[in-house]
Amino acid sequence: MIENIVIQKYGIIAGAFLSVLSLAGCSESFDETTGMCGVSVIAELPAGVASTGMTNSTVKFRNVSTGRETELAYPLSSDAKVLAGLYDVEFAGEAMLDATRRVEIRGVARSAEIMTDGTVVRIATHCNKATDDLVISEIFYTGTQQESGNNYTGDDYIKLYNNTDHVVYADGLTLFESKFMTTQKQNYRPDIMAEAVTVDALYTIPGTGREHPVQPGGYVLLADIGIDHRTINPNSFSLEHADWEWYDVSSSPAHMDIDSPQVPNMEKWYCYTQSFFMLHNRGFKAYGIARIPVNKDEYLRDYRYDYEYEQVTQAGTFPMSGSAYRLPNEWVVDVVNCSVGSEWKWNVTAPVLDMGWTSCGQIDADKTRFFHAVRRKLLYVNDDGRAVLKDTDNSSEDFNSHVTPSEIELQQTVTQLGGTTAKTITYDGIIQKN
Amino acid sequence: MKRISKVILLIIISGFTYIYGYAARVSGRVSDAADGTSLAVCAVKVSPLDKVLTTDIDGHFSIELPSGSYDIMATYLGYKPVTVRVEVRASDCECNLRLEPNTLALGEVVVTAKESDGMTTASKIDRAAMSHLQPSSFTDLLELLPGNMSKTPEMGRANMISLRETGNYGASGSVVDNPDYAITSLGTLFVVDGAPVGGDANLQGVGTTSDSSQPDYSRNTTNRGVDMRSISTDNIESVEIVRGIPSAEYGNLTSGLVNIRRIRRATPLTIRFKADQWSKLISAGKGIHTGHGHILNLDADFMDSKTDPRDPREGYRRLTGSVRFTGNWMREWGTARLNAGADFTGSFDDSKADPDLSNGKIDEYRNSYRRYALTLENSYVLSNMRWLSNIDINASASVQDDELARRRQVAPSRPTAAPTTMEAGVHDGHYIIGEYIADYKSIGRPVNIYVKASASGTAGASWLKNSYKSGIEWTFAKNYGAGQQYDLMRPISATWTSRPRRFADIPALNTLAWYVQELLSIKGKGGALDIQLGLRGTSLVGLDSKYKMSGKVYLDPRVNVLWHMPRLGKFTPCAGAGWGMTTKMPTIDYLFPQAEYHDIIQLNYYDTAHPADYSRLNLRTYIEDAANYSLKPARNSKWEVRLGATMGDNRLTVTYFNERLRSGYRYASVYSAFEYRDYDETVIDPTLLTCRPDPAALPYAEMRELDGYRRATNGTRIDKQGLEFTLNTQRWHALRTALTVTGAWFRSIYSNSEPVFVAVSDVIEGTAVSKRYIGLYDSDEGRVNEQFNTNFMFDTQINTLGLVFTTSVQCMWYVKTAAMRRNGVPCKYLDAADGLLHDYTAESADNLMLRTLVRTYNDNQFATVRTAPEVYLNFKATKRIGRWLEISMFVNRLFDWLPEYKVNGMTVRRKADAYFGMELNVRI
Repeated sequence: MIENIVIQKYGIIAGAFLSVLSLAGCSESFDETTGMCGVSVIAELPAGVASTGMTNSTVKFRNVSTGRETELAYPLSSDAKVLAGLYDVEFAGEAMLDATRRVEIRGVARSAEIMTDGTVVRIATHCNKATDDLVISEIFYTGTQQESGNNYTGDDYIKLYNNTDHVVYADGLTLFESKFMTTQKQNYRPDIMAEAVTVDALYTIPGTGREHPVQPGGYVLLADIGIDHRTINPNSFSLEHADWEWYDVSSSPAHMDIDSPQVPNMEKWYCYTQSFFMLHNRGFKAYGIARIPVNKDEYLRDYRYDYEYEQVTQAGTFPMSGSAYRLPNEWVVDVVNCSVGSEWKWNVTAPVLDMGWTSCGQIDADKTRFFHAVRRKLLYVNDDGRAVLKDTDNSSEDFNSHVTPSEIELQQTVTQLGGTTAKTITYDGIIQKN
Repeated sequence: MKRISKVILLIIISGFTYIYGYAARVSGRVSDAADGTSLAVCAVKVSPLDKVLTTDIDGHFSIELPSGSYDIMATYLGYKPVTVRVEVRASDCECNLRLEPNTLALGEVVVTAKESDGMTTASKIDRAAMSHLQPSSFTDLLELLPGNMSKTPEMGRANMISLRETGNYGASGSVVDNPDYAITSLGTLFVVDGAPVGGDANLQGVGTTSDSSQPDYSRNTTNRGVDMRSISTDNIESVEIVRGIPSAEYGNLTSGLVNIRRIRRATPLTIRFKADQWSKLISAGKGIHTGHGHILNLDADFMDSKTDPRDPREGYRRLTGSVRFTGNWMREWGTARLNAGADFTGSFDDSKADPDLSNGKIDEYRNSYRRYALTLENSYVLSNMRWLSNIDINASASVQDDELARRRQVAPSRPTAAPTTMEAGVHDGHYIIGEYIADYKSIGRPVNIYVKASASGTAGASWLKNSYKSGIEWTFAKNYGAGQQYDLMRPISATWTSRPRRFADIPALNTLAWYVQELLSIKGKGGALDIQLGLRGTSLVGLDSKYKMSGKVYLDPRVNVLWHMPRLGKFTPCAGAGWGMTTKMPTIDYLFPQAEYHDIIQLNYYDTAHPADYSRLNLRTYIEDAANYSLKPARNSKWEVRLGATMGDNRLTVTYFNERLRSGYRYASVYSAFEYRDYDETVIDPTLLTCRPDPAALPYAEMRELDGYRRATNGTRIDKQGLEFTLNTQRWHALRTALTVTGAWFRSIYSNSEPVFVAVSDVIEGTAVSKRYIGLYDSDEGRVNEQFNTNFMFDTQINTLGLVFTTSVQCMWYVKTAAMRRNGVPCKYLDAADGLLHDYTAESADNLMLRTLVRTYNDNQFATVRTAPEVYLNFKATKRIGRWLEISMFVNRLFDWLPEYKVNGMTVRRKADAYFGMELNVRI
C-alpha cells in the first residue's frame, strides 16, 4: 500500500515536472540557494466576465505545510516568486458585468505543487453569489459532555441568520446534510458535484411562504430535540425556545426520538436512517439550507441519485453503489463544509457553493471538540446595531472554528467539562458584544 | 456364507473351550533387573488373551490359564518391556520377569505428538512432550497436531478448540470469531479420567446482544464447549486427540475427542515455575505410595496472565487443585482398580477500562468460573469369566459456581427509554433521564452428573479374535443459578430490550446413550486385519413432547478397518479406513433459549415542563418463544483413509478425511408481523395537562410491522476435507537428532445450510422496506477456505549433557479464501400485511419496494484471496542440572520469513512478534 502511494506521489511529481518542462521550456532553473520558485497564475474567469474589467484582484498563496500566507496582486508580476512547496492558491477579485452590476469573483486551487521555477497555477473561478436570503450562522454538532465525560448529542442545533437588511421568510427553507463525507474521498460516478449536492437528509420548515418572517439580524434556531436538556445532562442547556426541531417517528424504544410538544417539527422529506437523524458528531459532513422549488413528492420522485464507486481493499476492488438525492446547486442558499484538520480529504460541494471548510477540534474524535461550535465571523456592526456577518462562500474564511456556541453564551452554561460557565456574549465566538 | 458360519462356530467353540479348559496357574514376580526391588502396580499383559493384570505391592501376579502358549509381557515406566513365552501344560508354572531400567527411554524423550497406531486417526501427546513444550494451558499442546502451528497464548479470550479445519476467515484470510460456527468447539468432547467435561448447562453471558467490542464477546463460552485456558497441563500424563472416527464408546460430539489421562503414579515433588511476556505460572505436584499398591496424587497450579503487561486492569487467572487416589485390589475373581479424583478449577477474567483514558467512564467486567468435580472410575478385570473380562463403572459429578459481573457507566447520548414489563401486553415504559451506573450480574450454577457402565470381553482363537464391548451412559445437566440480575430501570446499555432470566427455572437436560462395539481381529499370512464395528444410540429423555427430538433415538453407526500388512522388504505397510456418524445434542441454551421481547412504541409523549410527571411512554410488548421445537441434533458424517509405513524407527502416516456437517447450531433471525396502535401525540396540549396523558383519549392508527427475533436452528454447514501427514525419522546418531515432519492441507467450507431471512436497509417513501417485507435467501454467507502447512521439528538430545533442544521450522505455505457465489435474489419474501411467506417471482421484481430485496453482488466479491508463505523458526531447550533441577527456555518465532505479497494491487507487509519464556523445574 505504502509502495503504491509512493509510486503515485512520484508519479505526480514526475507529471508536474514534465508539465513544467513543456510549459516553461528550458527557462531559468529553480533557485537552489533561496528555495524560491517563479510562479504565474491564470484565473479562468466565468463566462461574461472580461479580464479587462477586473479590479482589486489578489492571489493568496497559503503554504499547506507551514501555513504561511503570501498575498500578491493579480495579474502577478513576472518576477513573482514563492518558496517551493504545496499551496492552496485562492483568487479573489471584483469585476463589472456592465456599467452598474458589480460581482465578486472567487476561485481556489487546492494542493497545487509549486516545486519548480515557472510553475503555472490555473484557478477556475466563479461569481460569488450575493446571498439575499438567510445564512447559516452557527452549527453545533459536537454536543456536550455528561458528568462522567461521556458525550451527549441530544442538544445539537443549527442557527440561521438574516444577514440582509430586509425581512426574509423561513417558510419552505430546507435543511440538508451531505451524503458524502469530507474525510473520505471516493470516485463517485456519475460525478454531479459541479451541478448538485448529494444529500441524505432533508427537513423542511413548513409554511405557505409568509408565515415565518425573520427580521434583519434575526435568528432561526433549528434543534434536534427542543427540550431543556439540563434535565438529562446538567452540563447542557435548554433548546425549549427552538423555532423548529427535526423529529423522526420510531416505533422502537431502542432508538427513539423525542418530540417536544412546544417546538414545531420540520417536515421530514427524507432521511437515510431508520432511527433518528443527528448531526455528524465528529463533523465530517457538510450542512446547508436550500429553497427547493418543487414539492416533496416531485422532488423525491425526480431527484434520486444512484451512484457507483470502487472500494479498493486487500480482499478486492469492490464496485460499490449507493443511493441518495441530488440537490441542484442553484437551489442551495448556503452550505458549510465541516471537517477535521487531520482528516480532511475534499469538499463535498462545488467550490461555487463553498471554497473552504471549518472544524471543531484538531484530530479525529478529539475530545476537546465537545462544547464547541463553528460560528460565522462578524464583519461589522452597522449603524442600527445589526451585525453583518461575513459571507464569501468560503467556510475557511467565513467561520470561526472551534468556538463556544451561542446558546452556551446566552444561557451561561458550562463551557467545558468541570469548567466554568460562560461569562461573555459574543457575536461570533470571538468578538465580544458590548 | 460357509466361511462365515465356520467363523461363528469357531467363536462359539473356542468360547466353550476357554470356559471349561483351565489348565494351570501361572504366577510370578516382576522386579528391577539391576537391584532386584519389586515393581508394584506393574502392568502384565497376557497375549493373545489381552488380559491385563497388575502386580501387587511385592511385584507378584498370578493368573489361571488354559493350556497353550502365551506371551507374558511386563511394562513399567522407565523400564524396557520384557516378554516371556510360557507354555502352559497341566501343572502350575512360575514366570519371573526382570526389567532393565530403560536409560535410553529416560534420557531420550518423545518431544512431539505421536500418531496413534490404533483403529482411528489420533495424536498422542505424553508427559515428556508436554514438558518440553512448556505450555501455559492445554491450548499450547495443539501446536503438535498436523495442520497447527505454534500460537502465542491469548489469555484475554476463551480458547476454543478446532480440529481438522482452517477456521473462519475474514475477507483477507485472517481468522475471525463467528458464534454461528461454534459447533466446531462445542462438537469436540473433552474427557478427563473417563468423565466428560460438561459445558451444556453453561448460560453465562451479557444478555443476547452481541457486540464484539465488549469484553464478554470473546470470553463467552455458552454453546461453545470447553475453554482450554482452564485446563492446566501439569497433572496430565497423556492426551489422546482423536481426529478420526472415535470408538462408539464416545458420543455427544461431532468433530473429535480429547481424552486426557492424568498422572496416577508415584512421583517426586515436582515444582514448576514458568514466566513469559504475559504470564507467570507455578505448579506443584506429588504422587505418594500409600501402601498396598495405592497411590495418592496431589497437585495445584496457579497462573496469572495479563493481556498487556503494561495494563494491570485486564487479566486472566487460573487456579487448579486436584487430589487423586488410585487403588488396586487383587481378589480371587480378578483385580479391581479404583481411580477417584476431586478437582477444583478456578478461572477468572477481569477487565476494566482505564478511567484516565476513557474520561472517567466506569466499565468493568469480571467473570469467574469455579468448578468442583468428583470422578470415580471403577474397573474390574475378571480373570475367571471367559466371556466377560472387564466391567467399568464411571461416575462423575460437577458443580460450577459461575459469576459474571458487569458494571458500566451508561450515558445515553440523547433521551432514551427502558421497557420494564416482564409480561406481554400494553404498559408504560420509562424514559431514561441522565446517566447512571448499571450493574449486571449473571449467576450460573451448572450441575453435571454422569454415570456410565460398560462391559467387555474377548473370545477367539489365535488367528481370530473377537473383542466386544457394550455400555450405557446417562448425562444430566442443569443450571441451578439465580440467573441474570439487574435493574430494568437501569439497563446495561441504553438500547437494551432483553429481560432478566432465572436459570433455575430452565428444565434439565437428560441424555441417555448406549453403545455396542465389536472388534474382530484376524491374523494370517496377509498380515493382521482389525475390523471395528460400533453403534451408538443417543436420546434426550424427559424432553417435552412439543420437541420433535422427544422420544427419538439417534443412531451413530461407526466402522473402522485397519490392516497391518506383512513386511515388504524393509517396509511394514499398513492401511486403514473408517466411516461414521457423530451426533452432538443441543445445549440447554439452544433447546430452551431466552424468550425474546418486542416492545413497540404506541405513545411517546415527553413533557418539557414536567418531564418526570407528565411524560408518558406507552409500549406494546410481545413475548416470542425463541425455542425451536423442530430442532434436531447436529450430525456429522465423516470418512477417512489412512496409509502408513514403518521402516526401522522411521514412520510415515498419511490420512485423507472428509467430513460433512449440515445441521450445526446457530441463532438465526426469524420475522413475524406485530400489531400496535400509533397514538397521535400532537393533539396533546401541554398547557392543559394535569396528569399523564391518557392514551384512551387520543386518536390512533392501527399499525402492523415486521420485526425479527432470534431462534436456535440447525442452519450451519461445515464441510471439511484434508490430507494430514506425519513423518518420524529415526535418530541420526552422529547428530543425535531426529526429525519430525507434520503438516496438513485443509479445505473447509463454512456456510448457512438453511435459508436465511435478511432485512434490507432501504427506505422507500419514508417507510423502511424491512417493516413491510423481508426476503428469504437460499444463501447469505459462505466461504471456501484452504490452508497448507508443514512443520519440521529437529529434536536433538545429548544425554551426557542432560540437554534436549528442538528447532522447529513452521511453514504455512498459503492460506486461501473465497466467498461462495450467490445471486442475491430471494427465494421467498415475508409480507407484513398477511404475515405469510410468498414466492418471489418476476412480478415481485416490478414492485417498487420488493425490488429492493434483490441484493447485488459483483464478481470481485467472490474472488480468491491467497496469502504468501509464512515461515517461522522456533527454538526450545531443556537442560538438566544435577538431580533436581531442570531449566528450560523457548522462543517462538525467533526468526521469521514473511515475504510481502500483493493482493488486488495492494502490497501486504506482515510482521511477527517473538514469544519467549523460561521455566524452572525442581524435583525433590
